[in-house]
Formats: sequence, C-alpha cells, structure tokens
Amino acid sequence: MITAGIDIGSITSKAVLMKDMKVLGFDVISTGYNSEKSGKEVLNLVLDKCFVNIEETDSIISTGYGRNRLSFAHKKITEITCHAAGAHFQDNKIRSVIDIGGQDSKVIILDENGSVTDFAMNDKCAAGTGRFLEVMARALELDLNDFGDISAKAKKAAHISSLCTVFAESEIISLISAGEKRENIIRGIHESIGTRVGALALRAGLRSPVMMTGGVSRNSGVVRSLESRLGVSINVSSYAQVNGALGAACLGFR
Amino acid sequence: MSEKVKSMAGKNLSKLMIKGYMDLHEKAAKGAFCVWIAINVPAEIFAGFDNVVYGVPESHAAMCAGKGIGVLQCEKAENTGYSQDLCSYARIDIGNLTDGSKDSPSFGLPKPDLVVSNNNNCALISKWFDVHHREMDIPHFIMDIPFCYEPQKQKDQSYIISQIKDLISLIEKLSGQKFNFNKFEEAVFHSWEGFCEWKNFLELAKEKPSPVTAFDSFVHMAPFLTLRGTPVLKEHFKILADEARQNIKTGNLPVKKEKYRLFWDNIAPWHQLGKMSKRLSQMGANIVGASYTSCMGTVEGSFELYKWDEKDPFEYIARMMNSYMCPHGMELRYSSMKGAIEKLGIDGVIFASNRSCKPYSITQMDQQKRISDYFGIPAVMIDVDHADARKYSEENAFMRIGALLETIDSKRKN
Ligand code: SF4
Repeated sequence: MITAGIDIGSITSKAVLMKDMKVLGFDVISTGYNSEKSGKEVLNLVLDKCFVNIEETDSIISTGYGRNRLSFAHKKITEITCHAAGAHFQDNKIRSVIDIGGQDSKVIILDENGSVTDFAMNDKCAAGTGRFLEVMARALELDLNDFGDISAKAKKAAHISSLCTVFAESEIISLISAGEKRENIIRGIHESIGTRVGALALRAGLRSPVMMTGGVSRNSGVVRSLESRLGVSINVSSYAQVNGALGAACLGFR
Repeated sequence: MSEKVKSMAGKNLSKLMIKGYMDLHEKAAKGAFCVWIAINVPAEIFAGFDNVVYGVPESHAAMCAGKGIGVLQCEKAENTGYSQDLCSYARIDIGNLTDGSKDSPSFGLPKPDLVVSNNNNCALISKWFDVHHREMDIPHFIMDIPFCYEPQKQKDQSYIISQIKDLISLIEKLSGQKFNFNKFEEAVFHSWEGFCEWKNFLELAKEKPSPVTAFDSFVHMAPFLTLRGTPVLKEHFKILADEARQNIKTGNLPVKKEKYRLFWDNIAPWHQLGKMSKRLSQMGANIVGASYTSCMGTVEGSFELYKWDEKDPFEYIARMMNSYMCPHGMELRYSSMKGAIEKLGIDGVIFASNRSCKPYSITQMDQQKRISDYFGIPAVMIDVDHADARKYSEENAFMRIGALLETIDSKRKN
C-alpha cells in the first residue's frame, strides 16, 4: 500500500511518500499563494523522485493550514493529529511533541497509540515562532542557520524582556548599540523563545520522552534553552520539517 | 445549520425585536423617561412606572456585531482615543455615539435621562457608563453587587434590595412618576414565566440528535435583555420550544448527522454565528449547550432553573442579579458546567478565550484542565472576541476545533 502525506504550511509545502509504512521519499517547496498548485507540485516532485505514478497511490492525506484547499486529497486531518502520528511512527515511546514552525508553536501530548490526549498552541502572535527568529536574524544581519553555533559561545544571555516581536527587535537594536556581544544577544533570543514555548509545554502537561519537530528544531540553541528550562532531554526529529506530512502519510494506512 | 429557511420562532423574534426598538424610540420621542441599563440590572422595576422605557447598550452592541458593523463602530471609538483592549461592546457603543448612530440597524437607542450599571459582571461597565454620564451630563446610578464565591448570602441580598429600592426612589424623583408595586410584581412574574419556558426549550438539547443548537439559543436570548418583564417572553419561548419538539418528530434538525456534541464557554461570537455554525455542521458537530445561554434564570453553581416561590419579587430579582457567569468564582462556574456536561452527554468543550472580555475568560485555563481531567473528554481553547471580528482568525480556530473532533474520534476508537 502506498500513501502520500502533504502538509501545506504558511511558508513551505512538504510531501512524504510511504510504502507499507516505510518512507520512500520526501520534498519541501515554498507554498506561494496557491496552495492547490504547490500541493500538486510537491507531490509530483516526490512521486518522480521515487519513480511512483500517482495512480499507484492508495491514499492522499492533506494537513496544515492549506489542508482544505487540496481538492485531490482523500482526507484532511489537522496538523495536531498528524504531528502526533509522525512522532509516534519515528519512536513509539514519545509522549510529547514540541513543534515550532514558521508561524506557530504547539505542544502535543500523546498516548501509547500515538493519539492526541492534549495540546496547547501559541495565540495570535509571532512570539515563540520561527518568524520571531527570522526578524531577529535580520536585525543582527546574520544567517539564521548560524544561530545555534554562535549562541554556544555565549558567556551569558542578554536579557530580552519583551515577548512582542516588534518590541523585541528594538530591544535588540538597543543592545547592539550598547555594545552587547552578539552571541549573548542570540542566547537571550533563544531564552526568550524557550520561556514562551516552555510555558506552553507546562500548560499542556509535558510528558517525557519529548520530540522536537518543525524548522526551528534545527536550531540547537533553542533546543538547549528548552531542555534547561523544562529539565528534560529533547530528541530532535530527523524528519523535523516534514513530520506533519510524515504523520499524514502514516494516517493514510489507517 | 440554523435558519436557512427562517423558522417560526426566527420570524417571531425578528418581529419582536423590530417592534421592541420601534416602541422604545416612539415612547421616548413622546416624552417617556429613558434609562440605559447594564444587562443584569433588574429591568422589571421600570414596568412599575407608567412611562419609563429602557435601552440596553450591550444588547445593541451585540446586534451591531451580528449585523457585521461591529468593527466599523469599534474603529470610531478607537479614532477618538479608546484602546483596542477595551471591551468591544463598550467600543461599539461609544463609537456609535460619535456620529449620532448613523450606522446602527436600530437607529441607536433614544437619548437617556439616566444610566444604571453594576459592578459584578465587570468593573469596566461602570467606567463605560461613566463616559455617557460625562458626555450627556446625566446621572449615573452604580449598583454595587457583591461578587460571589458561594451562594448569595442573606446580608448581600438585603444590600442589593436596598439599592434596588434606592434606584426606584431616584427614578420617582427624576421622572416625577410614582412607582406601582403591583405592576412591578406582575412584570417579575412575566420574567419568571419566561425563564421557565426558556429552560423547557434548553432541556430539549438532551435529545440525541439535538433539536437545539447554541447558535439559535444565542440569538433567541435577546428578548431577555430588551423585553424583560413582559408576557412576550413566555409566548416567544413557547413557540421556540414547540417548534424544537416538532423538529424532533420531522427530523428537521440543526445538524442532521450529529457526530459530536459540544459545549461552548463564553459569550457568543456574534460576528461569526452564520459561518461557524455552517462549518461545524459540515463536520457533524453541534454545540448543543453553552454556559452563556444556560445561566439565564439560574443561580450560583448550577444551570438548573432557580425555583422562585412566587412570594417576594424583590428577593427574586436580587437573586437573579447573580444569574450570569461573570459574577461567579471558579468553583461555582465549574460546578455549573459539570452538571451541564453530564446532563447533555457532551463529547468535547470549546473554551472561547475572549480577547476583550476578560471577566468571562479569566478562569478558563483552569476550567479546561479540571473538566478534561474529571470527564476524560477533550477540550480546546480558541481565541475569539465577542464583537470585534479583527481579533478572530477563522483558520486558527478551526484547526483547533478540527483537532478536538479528531481527538474525540481517536478516544472512541481506543
Ligand atoms: S462583562 Fe465582558 S462583555 Fe460585559 S461589559 Fe464587561 S468586558 Fe464587556
């Protein structure tokens, strides 16, 4: 049996192809303004890569903010359920998923079957999301990919009191002009996200073992900050960015 | 989900509301003494006077939001310096007055001679009515109603009654009219009968599938606010209940394939009723009950009808000043909701965290946890605002609601 999971996020679209519960391949493209088009495109890319015809797929499941826009999907499932299923597939002992994506962050608690028992999400605000990090990287004129390594050199975390992205950006500009070391500033930024998402995790009732997914999980600084704040060790998913699509593909087998 | 082809009760409601607003304007234009009140001020006392009418700014604001002009009215207030963080009802009302109610579906409310607020729903409302007091140079009577963490105490009830009597004396003095106890008592009786019939209607939500959806109940509450103390309450809610009974027989149900029975906690999202009910219905979900509609006619800690012994009308209306959610502490809210969840066979709860009504939202995070732990049913929190559509994101809300339904499904499977 072959299934495809497609996750249409606000910034990127991802597709995962599976055969008999084994990953055949995946791909990521940017979403653009037409969800249906990018959904088809990313699916075709992964089908071509894996030498599979669309007719051979038994089930196509869509998820993410654009899930309802894919007319060719057989079923639409929210990313909450899909992220839980994706994490469960990778390691069935996982009981919590911390997902930080471009526009939202969520903490999902799951049971031994990979079903969701509870979840909490950030409200309508960019604090504690990938977008927050992007804005800060721009203010510091740095590549976001270097944040993790640079922050590891910090001797202390600069204090960033504001949770609001816009206010935090001006705080950072003041810190730069006050001569604060940039590694300390970056550590401070990571602590700020850790505080915000950590509170979400506690609210949802975090249980170990914990897996982190979403683009931000590739930032080791944020992972370290969350680990120290929550007192747990965090597994970073090897399918970090495509975990939602992976879960969708897994749910196609049910 | 609700009334694509307008139901009999729906038609009756439109008729009542139009007539209510027209009568109000007409009587005020002919010289009636006009009072603006906060929703839980006991309006029955006005029936004790020959020529006193009343308007309810909160109800008018809800209507503006329901008709899609909430944001327009809010912006008018914001343009004069009011913060976006203030209650959207207050912003709509204040905004509406900046240009002589030119956009209001009811031509606003007639100019008041007196405003009456209370402080147990929230502190903001007294400040809001103070704006009218200053702008229009009219008296403002504030009822000081104790917040309740337990059933109303005797001394609190006496304190409330003494203020109701003070208010009556003030109206006598300002309007030059004499208060008639018998007419007042009759009005209280009409409200009591209205509450009884309302409860008969809400009880039908126990049926599976339910002929009742909160989206209808939200809208049909309006006469409780604007036509208090009149016989039309009983008549209207009887039409509503009879029609719901008939709908059970004919299968004309709000959600035909009712798969999920949900409970809603907070004020209705007036600007979203149509869209939200349609989308939920397509998902097989029916919000069969809501704390906002269930609390009418009940008191602290239970959504069961508070049975009046039909003796002292002052005691009854003083008790009814606690007939809302906001004046209740966490234990009372929890115990009311617990009873309703058991009774209605609820599968999941939507806690609508309201951006500009914090008094309603303040305990929700703890309630969510307690309800989920006690019943083992899932509950979600979504962000809404009762009257400001800018503070609501449909996709955000529906992603959470979708996940709630999926969690219910997976619990059923396991
Ligand atoms: S209780 Fe809520 S809706 Fe009512 S006036 Fe206060 S803030 Fe506004």
